[in-house]
Amino acid sequence: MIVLIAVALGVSLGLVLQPTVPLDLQPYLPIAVVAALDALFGGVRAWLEEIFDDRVFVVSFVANVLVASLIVYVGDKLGVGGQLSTSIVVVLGIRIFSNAAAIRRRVFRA
Amino acid sequence: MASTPPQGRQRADASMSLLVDLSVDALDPGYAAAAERKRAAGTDRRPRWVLVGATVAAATLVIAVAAVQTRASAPAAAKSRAALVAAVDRQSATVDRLERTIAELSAEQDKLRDASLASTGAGAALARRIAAAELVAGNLRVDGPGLRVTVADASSASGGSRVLDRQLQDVVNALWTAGAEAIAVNNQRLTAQSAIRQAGDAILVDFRPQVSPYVITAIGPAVDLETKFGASRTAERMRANSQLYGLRFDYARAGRLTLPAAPDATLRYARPAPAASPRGRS
Amino acid sequence: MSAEGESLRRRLVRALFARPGPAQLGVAALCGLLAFALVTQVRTTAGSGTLASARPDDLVSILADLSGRADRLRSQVADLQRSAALLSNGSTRDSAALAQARARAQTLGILTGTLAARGPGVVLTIQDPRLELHSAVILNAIEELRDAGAEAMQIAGTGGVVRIITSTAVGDLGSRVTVDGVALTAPLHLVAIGDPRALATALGIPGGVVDSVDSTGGAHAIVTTSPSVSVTALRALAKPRYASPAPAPTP
Repeated sequence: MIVLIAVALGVSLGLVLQPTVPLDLQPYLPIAVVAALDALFGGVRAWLEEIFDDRVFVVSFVANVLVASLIVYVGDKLGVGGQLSTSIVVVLGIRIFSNAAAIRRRVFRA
Repeated sequence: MASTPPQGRQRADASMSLLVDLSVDALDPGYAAAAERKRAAGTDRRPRWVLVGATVAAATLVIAVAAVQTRASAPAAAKSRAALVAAVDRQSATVDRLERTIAELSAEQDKLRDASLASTGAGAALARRIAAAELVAGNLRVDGPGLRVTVADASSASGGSRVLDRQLQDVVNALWTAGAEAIAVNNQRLTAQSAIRQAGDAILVDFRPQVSPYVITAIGPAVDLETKFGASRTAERMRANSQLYGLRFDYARAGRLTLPAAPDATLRYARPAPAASPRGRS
Repeated sequence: MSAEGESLRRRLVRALFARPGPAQLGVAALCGLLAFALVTQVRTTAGSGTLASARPDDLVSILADLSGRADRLRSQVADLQRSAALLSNGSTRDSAALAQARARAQTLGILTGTLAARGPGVVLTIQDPRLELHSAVILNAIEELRDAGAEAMQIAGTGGVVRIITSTAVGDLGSRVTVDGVALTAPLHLVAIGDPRALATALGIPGGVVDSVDSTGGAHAIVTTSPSVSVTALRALAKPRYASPAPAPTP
């Protein structure tokens, strides 16, 4: 229940406040989004499979975002920032899709 | 179906292990490990929903912010670009329509005018001078022997290098030097006001976008054109470009080339000067 | 194995000619939708044509060029309509025809270099004390000026003056630039008649003619606009020996 409230809160805050992201952080926003989605989907699947753990959820979200941003930052310094960013999106995207497929199997048994 | 031994399957799958692992481990193994721990320890700690809620709120906040940001910036750029392309298409269509109208009107009037001029000696002489000038200026459809030069972008397999407007200008320049009497690029007749210029993927000849391959047809003494053009610095450079970047460059004599007429031009700024200077090149 | 092939073929035949059940209809509908979407996408990509990848700046300048051209064409249409009126009137036909023919001869004379011309335009002056310029920059200048609507041009330097026409070709002879075979050395003066602002802008674009001359060691280019410049160098009309008028194509 509280999770649904949290979702509504996050969405409405984002739409109402409309914070402008500083230019320096803008390249990391897509990475943060994908990492956030990965953590969310992973959490939902874990809850459906009844092995949900709150600490793992929080850590997975925070770690995903930080590690991904760090990788992109280092990549920028090395000159391959764009490519690493793409690869992170690809990898996390595959995970999101796998989790979504597992969720679908659970929910629809199809 | 015959089954291969497990080791065989593993070896076959080895190169795909990255993708396989990605899908198999999609769910953070931390959950399974935590569940194991809880089962082993016998406790079943209920998740602290407040913590979970806060994290979820943060996650959705990030997503919402990104979504809002993208909506704000992308449509403006995409819309303006789409509007530009649409405007260019519209203007191109207008220009085509106007040129067709001009061609029709000119053709009608030329007939009337020629008929009237032919009735007097002076008029007939004037008509002949005009025809000769039109041929040189590019406003008359012509045919004759000559050279056909083809320049094309490199295939994407060999790097996808594009032909530059500078290279087409070079080739045309070398053909004039070799003695061409009339030249067309992708069937666009070149006149004193024709420019070859690049924009994006296309090269504009006389403001009309052309795409690779670019076929340059030049009327003139075929053998001479082939020899002189082939020996020119430009041809050398193009051959080098062809080897280095994979551009296509070849040329061959042609027995009969037909070059279309360019639409008549009117001058808006230049007027005849009262007296011609005695100095100059004839 | 032939047995498996047999059953496959039989299955195919059965599948092709069996009456469709609801499952097949569902799959068929989806396949049809996919095919429709693919075709639409292919046509959209093809239809967007060669400008699909042009940068917005290029598009803006193409649009400006096209608009200018459309304006010029519209005034041409207006002229033609006026002269059509004169030609269709029997009493004015002969004098109108003669007048039009003379005007056309004059236009062609200016374009082919047999007549001197005067009008607003620009003068591009190039100093090259160390003789480092190549013909490429002159060719570039000529193309840029044509693109900006130059109607008559000539280039003068130590060595002569040459009227620039359709068949003008540039080359290099040692350290000198040749235009239609005439070797010219700096200081060079390229005179062009047209819209002075458009011509000057075309020469001054970043990375354009003025920039490339200025970046060649020791050379320097200046563009001056003027309400009246003269192009007085003349050429004899070429007499083509290989190109001959061709009949119009049958529609």
